[in-house]
Amino acid sequence: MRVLLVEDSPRLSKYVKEGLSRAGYSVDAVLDGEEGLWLALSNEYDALILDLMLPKIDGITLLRRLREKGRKTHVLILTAKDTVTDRVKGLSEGADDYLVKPFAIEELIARVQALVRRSYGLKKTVIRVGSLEIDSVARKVTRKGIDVALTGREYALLEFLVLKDGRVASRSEIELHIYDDHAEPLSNVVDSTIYRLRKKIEMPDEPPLIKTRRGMGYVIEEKLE
Amino acid sequence: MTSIRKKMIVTLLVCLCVLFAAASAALYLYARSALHDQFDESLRTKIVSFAKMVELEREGKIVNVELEFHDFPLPEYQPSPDCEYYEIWQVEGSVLARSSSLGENDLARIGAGREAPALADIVLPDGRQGRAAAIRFHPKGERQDHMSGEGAEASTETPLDMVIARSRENLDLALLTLLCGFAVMGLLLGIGMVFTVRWSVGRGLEPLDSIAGEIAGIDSNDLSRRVTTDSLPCELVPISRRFNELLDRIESAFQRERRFHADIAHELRTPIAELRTLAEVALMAGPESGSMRVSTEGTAGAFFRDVHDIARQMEKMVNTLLALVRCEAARQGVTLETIDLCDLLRNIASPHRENAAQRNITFDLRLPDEALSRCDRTLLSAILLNLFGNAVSHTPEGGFILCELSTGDGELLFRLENTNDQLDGEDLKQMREPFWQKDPSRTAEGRNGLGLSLVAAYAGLLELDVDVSLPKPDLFAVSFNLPAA
Repeated sequence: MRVLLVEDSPRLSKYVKEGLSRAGYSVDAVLDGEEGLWLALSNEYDALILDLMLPKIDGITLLRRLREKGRKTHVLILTAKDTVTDRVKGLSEGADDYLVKPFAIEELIARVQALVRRSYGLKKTVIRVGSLEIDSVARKVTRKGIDVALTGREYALLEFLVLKDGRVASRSEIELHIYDDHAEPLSNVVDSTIYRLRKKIEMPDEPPLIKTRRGMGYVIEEKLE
Repeated sequence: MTSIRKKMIVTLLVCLCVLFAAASAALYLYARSALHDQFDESLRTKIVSFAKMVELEREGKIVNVELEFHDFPLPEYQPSPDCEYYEIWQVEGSVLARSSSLGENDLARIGAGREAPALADIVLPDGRQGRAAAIRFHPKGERQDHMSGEGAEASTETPLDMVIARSRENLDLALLTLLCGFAVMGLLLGIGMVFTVRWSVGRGLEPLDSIAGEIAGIDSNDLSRRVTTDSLPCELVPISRRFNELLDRIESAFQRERRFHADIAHELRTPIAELRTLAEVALMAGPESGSMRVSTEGTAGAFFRDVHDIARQMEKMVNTLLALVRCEAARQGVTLETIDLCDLLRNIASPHRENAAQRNITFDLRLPDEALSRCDRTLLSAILLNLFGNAVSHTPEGGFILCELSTGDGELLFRLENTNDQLDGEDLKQMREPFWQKDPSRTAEGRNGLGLSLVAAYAGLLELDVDVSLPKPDLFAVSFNLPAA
């Protein structure tokens, strides 16, 4: 899942990005509102984490312009402003969630997960596809009740394919959602991750879960339960 | 509370009443004196005229007086309810003549003046208050049968004393009428003055009422309003200008305070967030990216856990400080709801009881069967959390904590006691100040001395009167009353 982080504190941005990356998110981090708005309008993000006091364009203006352009990206405001007025203003301008600094990184990740689930129309935290079960809160994957240990990137890729709900995901789409801007966009990165993922989740007595559509991409044909 | 209106009305009424009373008294005394003078002058004129109408007759040793009006008796000396009197004596005391109004009675013989008539108040024979004039005179034309007619028109050598008297009832009645007139006029004027003074003072103070209304309409949430000075009297313009300048300064101070609040939020919260996130991310499980390749095992892990604890402690302190700032700026809202206090106290006390048990502290929670109160749950919870936390922290091992909630007359009394032999009376005065700690070295871990300040601020918002006391030298107690629902 791809997340845009717009935060003017370089250190905080760095640590939040690291935390989200460890949780399996690909994160694009920028330090000012102008670049943040440009990225938010140029890419499809699953969630946007937005500070309010930003250089060049403040968070509320960024959010307003994003909504004016018709973008429905789920936005979490992450700010030091803690008054009820600030919260109401942020939410009424189109934000989906509001978290006050300082915060627990676990809480931020949980809220981002909730926003991502919402962007795919899911309310449950446990997703089932055939014998595969994904606990999006615990970030735990089991197949036929057996735990499958995945890296963050592998987990993100599997979750993305599952959430496509039977639709094909192209390589470029996967790159866009799973890898951030700073990752080298090499086509074999997706293929190698798919290869490792298949090795971990496929079972000899079960039909292959992830199928390749030649020239198109990858798909999990089984629908979400 | 003193009132300008009341003070002005009372002062004006007292002054006007005193002035009126003094003027009335002076006028009355002047009128009284004039009437008396007129009355006395009339008596003097009458007695002098009377004396000129007296002739002396002497037959041998017998002396008689002849009055010129003897043949035409004057009506005022005839017996009647408002008659007058006269009586003539020889100097040695024998009566020569008296008015028929006297009958057989005598007038009081007052000392007669030789040159001018003497005047005195007397009681008339019929009992009325009267005024008498007395004169010693030499009657004209003593008729001597043994002598020639010489000297018939001359004054005699024999002096006589005469007194005439008349009632002073009419005079007294006139004076009484005058006095009553002044009294009635004073009463009517007094009533009139009350209304007039009240109206004039009210009219004069209208600009003050107007200013008071304008000032009452200014609240801390909107300091942009100012007192209008255009229609004010010149005496109030400087005051209003000063007040407006004061409002300018207060508004600036509020804006500075708001900016300070925003700045402190950003300048302190963001670094704390950085510190906390750094520690949490470093301690997170999962693959590390190149930028944060650190070991969370051993000493490094312990360091990160310490960093996390320090960040949490700083976060708590900043949050408490900001809560205090919000309370002082009246920006902390209060939401009243019905609270089951027994339930709330059990929930809040539960973790503190466990902490107390670990330190061998007896924690006694005494609650009634039911206790409902109208209060703000969040603020009250914060108060109780701080009080319980303080009690457990400051009670020595083996001590005791007693939390008691009792029902009273429409109120619920909360009381928390704990063993503490470190405090004295002076500490009770200071302990609500921010950052106050008994230990001057401030080495108590995890404590910042803000808890009781926050308790006092929240109690102020909830209008709770928090009382701290030392019932015994080794016992500290906190109590307050809550309104029952």
